[in-house]
Amino acid sequence: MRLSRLVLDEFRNFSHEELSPAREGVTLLRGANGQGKTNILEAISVVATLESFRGADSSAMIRQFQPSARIGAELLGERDHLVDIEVVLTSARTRAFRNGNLLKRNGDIVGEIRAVAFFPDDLDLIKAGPAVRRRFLDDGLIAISPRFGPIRSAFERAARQRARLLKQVGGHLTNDLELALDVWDDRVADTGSRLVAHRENLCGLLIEPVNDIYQRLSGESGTVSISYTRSWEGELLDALVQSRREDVRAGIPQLGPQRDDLAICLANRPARSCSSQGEQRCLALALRLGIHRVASEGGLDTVGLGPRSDFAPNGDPPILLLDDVFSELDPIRSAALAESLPAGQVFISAAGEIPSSLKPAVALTVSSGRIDR
Amino acid sequence: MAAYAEPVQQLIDEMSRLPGIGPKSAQRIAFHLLKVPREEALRLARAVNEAIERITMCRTCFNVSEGDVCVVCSDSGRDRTVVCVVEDPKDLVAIERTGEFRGTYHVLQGVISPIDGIGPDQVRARELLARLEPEGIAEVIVATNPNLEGEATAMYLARLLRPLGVVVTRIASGLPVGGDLEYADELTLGRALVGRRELSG
Repeated sequence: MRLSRLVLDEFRNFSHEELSPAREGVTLLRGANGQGKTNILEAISVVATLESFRGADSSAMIRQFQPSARIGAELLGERDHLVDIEVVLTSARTRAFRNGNLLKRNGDIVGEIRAVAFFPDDLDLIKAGPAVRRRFLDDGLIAISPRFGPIRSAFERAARQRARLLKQVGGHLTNDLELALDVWDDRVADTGSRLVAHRENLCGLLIEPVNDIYQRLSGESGTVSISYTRSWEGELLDALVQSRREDVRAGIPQLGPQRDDLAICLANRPARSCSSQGEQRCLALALRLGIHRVASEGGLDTVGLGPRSDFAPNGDPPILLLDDVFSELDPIRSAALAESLPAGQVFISAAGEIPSSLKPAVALTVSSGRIDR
Repeated sequence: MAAYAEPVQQLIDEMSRLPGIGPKSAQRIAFHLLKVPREEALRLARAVNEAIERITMCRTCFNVSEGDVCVVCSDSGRDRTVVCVVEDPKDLVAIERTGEFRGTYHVLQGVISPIDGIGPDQVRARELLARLEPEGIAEVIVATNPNLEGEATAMYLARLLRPLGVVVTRIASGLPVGGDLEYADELTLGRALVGRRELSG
């Protein structure tokens, strides 16, 4: 499916605006800072995943003094196959409609269209703590398949239950507690092993595209290595049982998928500490674009989440959202990016200069919550 | 905001505490009660009163009961060797409606969920343990909901009871009868496939 129309009502700084993006190629959103360019990209990410890529909660996305915000998206597939998606945000809850029908489970619209976003904070992928990188992998898996969503939430819920139990027991391991922990260890291990298998699989698939993209953007031949680092050894269930005494004493779990990391190296040196700011920016962008390429080409079966035809019958690549990307890169790298953009729908926001080689199919101007051609 | 007379506002507030009743519905119900014949409204008040005063918990199975022992436990025609474990009395009624079960019940009154502060001691697991020998129970059927907490509770009971020599079984999960394959979600359908059985005939 392609996004053929986007309507924003009382969303962020827009009262009522709509836009028709390019069906193929770049839709450029120009305008000074603080005019609402990023908000448009955010609205697209909400339609794709029901979450803001900025991690904002719904009340932050509703225009001031309004009870609710509405995002309407018209999706067009092959042979004029038309789907209308509507997401209504109130501070209390989010409701999703497909062709006018309220969906019983919001998750059912995830995957109607897919999106991969790069935004300035993505430098954190290299610089910040492991949580950001785990989230990168999980978001990537969701961009590849909506089926991953339930796998992640099953693990998160089981892990929360076990962590809460550890907190409640006050440091003493009794027979009763052993029995209760047996149960939660089993649930965490069952859901966690599946989660980690998918994350590791994705890491393997990313290596080649990320290297290719990094070299194109940077013009350097430095090798990027990406490896998933588990916080335990052997089977997860055995590791949980072994660390039980320590977990109970500390009151928090010492290991598990919620403590894993992604090790990113450039020319065999950790990118976090050894790379320059420019290299790190380039690397972060290559990681996101790598996800986009895996999601466009690889298809689902490569990560074991079921047949591709289940969710993307026409095989359209995910929508690529690039927020303020050119201000992040020097002119040479900007030009390299403009020349190597992937096929499909690409949205780019820009406040300043854009490379002359960028040929947008649609160019829009955003100023104070208005969108003009 | 214009305020209602105090007793009316109080009625609306109490109504809106009920599960599934929002402020609008609470207001509608309150005014409905003020409009209907006096006797009808008082009948509701009496019914609430009666239920609260007369209903207690069955001391054996923790079902709701009028008196110490509930209707199921006091039925001499029941098979005492099989106990079906459910989360709450509503689930008990659901299983009773099937007409397929002639054993007795044990109502846990919740499921194990540390997030909600509910551990094995808050559900009636120990009370079930205490019933096994005196009642000569041979099989325990665990009929908790098929979600994370329900499954965890089922597993907990299995580990607690199995060493004592009782058979612990879990109700099957799969497709609803009269349902449509194409409308089943992947998880349910996946489980139905895993739990398939050979056709005889």
